[in-house]
Amino acid sequence: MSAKHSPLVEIETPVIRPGSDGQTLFWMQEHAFCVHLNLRGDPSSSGFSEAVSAVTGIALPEHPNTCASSEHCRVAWLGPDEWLLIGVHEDFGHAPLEDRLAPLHHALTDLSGGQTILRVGGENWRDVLASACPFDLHPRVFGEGACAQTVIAHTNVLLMPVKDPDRGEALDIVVRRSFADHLARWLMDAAAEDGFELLAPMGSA
Amino acid sequence: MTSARRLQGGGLIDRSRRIRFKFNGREYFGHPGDTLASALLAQGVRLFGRSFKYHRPRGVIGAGAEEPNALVQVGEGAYSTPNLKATQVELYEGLTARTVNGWPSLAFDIGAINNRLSRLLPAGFYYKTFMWPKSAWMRYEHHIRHAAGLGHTPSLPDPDQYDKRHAHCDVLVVGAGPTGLIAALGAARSGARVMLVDEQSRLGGSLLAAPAIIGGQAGLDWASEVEAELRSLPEVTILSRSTVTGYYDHNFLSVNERRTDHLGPVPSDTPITRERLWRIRAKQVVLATGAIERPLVFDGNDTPGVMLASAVSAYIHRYAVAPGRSGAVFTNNDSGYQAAIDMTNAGMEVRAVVDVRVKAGADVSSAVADLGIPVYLGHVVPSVQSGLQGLKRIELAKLSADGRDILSHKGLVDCQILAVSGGWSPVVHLHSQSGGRPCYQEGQACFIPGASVQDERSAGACAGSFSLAACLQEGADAGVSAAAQSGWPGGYVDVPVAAERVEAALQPLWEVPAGALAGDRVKKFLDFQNDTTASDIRLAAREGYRSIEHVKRYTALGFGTDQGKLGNINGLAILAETLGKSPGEVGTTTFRPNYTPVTFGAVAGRALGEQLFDPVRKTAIHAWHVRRGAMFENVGQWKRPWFYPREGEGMHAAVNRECLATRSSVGVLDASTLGKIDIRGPDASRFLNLLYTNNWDNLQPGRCRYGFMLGEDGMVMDDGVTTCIAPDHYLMTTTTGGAAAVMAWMERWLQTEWPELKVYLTSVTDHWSVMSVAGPNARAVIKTAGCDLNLDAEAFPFMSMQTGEVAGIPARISRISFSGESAFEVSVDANQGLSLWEAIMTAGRDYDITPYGTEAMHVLRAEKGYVIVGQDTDGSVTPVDLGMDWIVSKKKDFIGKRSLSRSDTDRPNRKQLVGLKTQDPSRVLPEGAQLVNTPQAERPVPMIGHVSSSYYSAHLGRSIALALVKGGLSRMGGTIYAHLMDGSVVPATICAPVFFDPENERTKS
Amino acid sequence: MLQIECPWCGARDQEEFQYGGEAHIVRPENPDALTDIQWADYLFNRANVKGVHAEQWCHAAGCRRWFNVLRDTVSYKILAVYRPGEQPPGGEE
Ligand SMILES: [Zn+2]
Repeated sequence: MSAKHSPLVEIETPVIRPGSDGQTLFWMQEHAFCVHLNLRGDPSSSGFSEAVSAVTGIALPEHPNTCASSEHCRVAWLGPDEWLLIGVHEDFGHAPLEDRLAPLHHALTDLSGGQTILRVGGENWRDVLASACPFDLHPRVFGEGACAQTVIAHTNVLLMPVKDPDRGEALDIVVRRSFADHLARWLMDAAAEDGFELLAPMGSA
Repeated sequence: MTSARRLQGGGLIDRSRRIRFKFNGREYFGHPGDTLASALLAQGVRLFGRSFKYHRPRGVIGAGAEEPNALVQVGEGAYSTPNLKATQVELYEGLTARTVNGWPSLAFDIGAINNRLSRLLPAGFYYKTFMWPKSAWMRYEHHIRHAAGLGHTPSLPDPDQYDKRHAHCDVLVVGAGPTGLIAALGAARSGARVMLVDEQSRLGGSLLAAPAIIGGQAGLDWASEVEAELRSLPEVTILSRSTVTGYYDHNFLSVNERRTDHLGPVPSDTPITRERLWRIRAKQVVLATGAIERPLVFDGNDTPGVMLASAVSAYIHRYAVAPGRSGAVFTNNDSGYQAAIDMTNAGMEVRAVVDVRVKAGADVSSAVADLGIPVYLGHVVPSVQSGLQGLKRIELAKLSADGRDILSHKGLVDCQILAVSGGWSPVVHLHSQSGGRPCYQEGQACFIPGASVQDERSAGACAGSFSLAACLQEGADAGVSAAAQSGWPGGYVDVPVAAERVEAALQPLWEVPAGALAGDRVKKFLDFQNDTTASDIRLAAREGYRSIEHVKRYTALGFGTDQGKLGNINGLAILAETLGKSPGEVGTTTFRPNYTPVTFGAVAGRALGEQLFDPVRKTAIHAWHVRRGAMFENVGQWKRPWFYPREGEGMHAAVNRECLATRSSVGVLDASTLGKIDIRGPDASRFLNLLYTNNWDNLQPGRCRYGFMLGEDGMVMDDGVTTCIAPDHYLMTTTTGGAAAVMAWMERWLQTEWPELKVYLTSVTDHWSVMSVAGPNARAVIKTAGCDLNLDAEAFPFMSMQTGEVAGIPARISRISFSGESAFEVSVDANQGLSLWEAIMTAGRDYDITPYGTEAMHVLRAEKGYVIVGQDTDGSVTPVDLGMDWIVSKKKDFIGKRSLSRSDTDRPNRKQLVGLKTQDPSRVLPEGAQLVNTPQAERPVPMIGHVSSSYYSAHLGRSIALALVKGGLSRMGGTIYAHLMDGSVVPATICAPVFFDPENERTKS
Repeated sequence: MLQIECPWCGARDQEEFQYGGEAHIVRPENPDALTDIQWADYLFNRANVKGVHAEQWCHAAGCRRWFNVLRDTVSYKILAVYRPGEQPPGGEE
């Protein structure tokens, strides 16, 4: 098996750059090499949502802007007939789901090489993102269990508030591979005043 | 230098600290809390600049954003900022400022000759004089602009950083005077998300400039308590030094926050942004923007020393500056009297209160009487006299009952300061920008907000309520109800008691008649910055202008950096009088963003430079290309390797080498940027039949086909190869630049026109790393890298796809070629793209494998006559024009088909794709060169086409070009001429657009 | 900058959307049966109304759904949003 290179492989890491008051109020970490599966199908067709929950153990989120998760997997609503399944481990295979969905009109597509997750947190993460994101990130309207597709610095992203086991409240940004480097550099620039910390592993190889 | 005019006590300044600064090269000092204007006034400076057109000496007239005269250039070198208002510039240690238009010096100004010639410079003078003949304007313009000169732009790059911030709130309160403060408090106590935005360095608004008692305590103490409570609430955001500059659709407002200007230049390596442009979406808006006092319009009303009455009070109370030794007041309403009281209390000798009205309000009358100030009711100041340092004395005259004539000259009164008040203009700018129509209020002689169009309400002085008690009540109501309407009903606030004065009504007097001392150069200014006078407005009316919008443009009224905050209402009222209408009938000009100027830096924010201006998309192999020294080309947002120069190698040498290596051995191209769309469902081939011009019914799994997509207008929109993976599963490739548009286009047809088609689309562009290994040794390289498939041409023919492994990595391998060579296009999960690329480079070492860039790719494909959509097509080219009728099915419908038989699309003599060979084979035509039929032609020369692609082909040893030529397909072998920019004429022979291997023997091998 | 209510995702900033021109223009069943003028009418001619305009928008940076919007082209007020295939509320066209 040859080496893998994540989309953020070019971002120098780990690094700490204190802001104007000597603090770092923003951190970023890449969660690379998850399994990303795009699923399209009709949730009203019989057996569709059952297939998803049987394989993932998660009830298919049918309400817009919501996501659900289990220990190994997350499912995010992308559209009325579209979801993103993220397997935390590389062995989250899509064959069992493909088998169950086979009789139904659907499309299950592997995007694992095409996108990555940038996890951001720290006291000022909302302010840093607000420099280029028109979506309202206030915890009143956007908390755990929610997700939203929007733009940051002209880059399409999927946002999912999460609890980081080590660092608490955080946000997962799912971004397309080719845009990931731009997005990370934008966020570092936007966070310069607050100071930022890049946590290993960024761009794991 | 002493502070001759600084008061001993009072003011919101810190006397314990001195701040040194320079104005026009001279050293001064002030204190924290000062503005540039207040510090200079404190030291007796009265001359602040020269006017734009007549270069008349000007002093400071206001104390805030309305100031038209005291414009300064602040800072040096790259940090220099033009046209700041001295009334808004906060002092910092070492500040340097210069007058913007006092060339060559403030005291002796060559431009002042315009003042002597002013009879020759009426409204519209520049239009009338210099626009004829039209061609001469360019010559005049330079000199006029130089003479006009409003500051200068710095010539160095801006070293400051700027950013933007999106914000969302339930209630946005604009203005933190008493109205805005109480509104914000009433709203915030509900728990709503409240933003309070204020232009000044500290909250308080009018309370900073005038004494007031609120709820039994000093107004500023009350304001501090409110501010403290607001700051304690977690959902409240307060922005100071921040101006709401625009009110746009759907309650979207822009705010320019000035974060460091009061600190002076910030070193460029400090990560602090100078300004931040807020983009706020508010559920509800409370406008509490206050009102701006109006000047009175009389001869010489621009003389330094003539100031707004409220500004005089502000300098005394806020900055502890008495702007002169002696003063007088000229007013048409009660509020002007306050300046007389304040001046007296500040130790100035107040020699007259001149009131247009025959009766003043009881409270102000008795207050002034108590101080022994003489009051002249029914009088006016028709003119003033001035010396080198500004105002010396005013003329006093009795006004006729109808206000049209001077009845008698009453003598002169010596004074250095004349505080004027012509009433108040509510700041309705944002209401108007929101779509509201201000309406005229006869009683108060001002425009107040009309009906709300968006979710906004105005409260306090900006709604025409000028008493403090009314402001507090309206502010409280507005804040509480705005919160409730945004979904937060729990707001509340007790309205504290404030003293009310018994007032007499204002008496409008839009223009003071000329007095006994009037010479033949009477000048009553409306717009001080543009030197627009009352007579300019009347002249415009005489010349037939009726609309205030036209008069504005003809006379330049309101075009300055102050946007007519002082002069516009007076101007439109004089126009109304001249036209025999009411001001309400004439109406205001449109209030447009921005309320005050915004720097370009703030508009740009962080979106600067190569990295952040626009997303830079990189492939998984990007780092390798960088290490290899590639030059990059922007293709859409992608960075693609353009060519890989070796040490000392120029572009042409590199491209020639890359082309020859590919044709003779093997080259490799990073093709990952091509758009890739996964198409799935039982109706996939039906859908492809609608999208593409050719037939897709019979494509077998594992086979690939090239297709053209047309717009419904029949013009080529995109092209690419689509592979059948299974009967209900295809993988489409698009052009690099067209990927997103094609995906959106396909989804649109599926969602809106053919929802019955069972097809799902998923973009997989980023998932696959794609590399094209091309050349006679391509097969050998793939074999060497290790592949579990039979790669022979018979087992794995051209235009087919198989899945297998290359170098141990699962891959899709396609026999497709854009180079005209035997090629293997290998696609792998992009996480392993770099590994595969490196494996192929290693495997190709013995074959001298050469990475090639987009330029070599262009040459190779042009040798084959393959078009590039967007280069050889331009949205007006059909497949038939490209000589590719074979790809257009006659049997089925597809998008754009009907358009191919439209009379224009179907006509002969359309521009058609041909090849060109220059008769001198070394001569490479420039792309875009226009083609004509004759070497020497009389103008106008009929253009018959243009060169769309042109290269030197190292393999063929000559230049080749593709061109679109009228009727070109029937002109094979003919000669055509390119007329170039340098005057040379290059003859070329028209030929078929395929220069290399027309039988496709190589691609099939 | 408009704020547009995506029928699925809710109110979002205009930046997330792509404009698609006039709504309810149905592709002719049989284009070959049309005259050039009839085809040009479908292809080029648009109502260009001053006032209430039915138009298509795509939530491009969101759920990627196309939908219809009734928007006043004078005030820019959005009066309604509705899904493809649905008729505008109030039976307006
Ligand atoms: Zn949506």
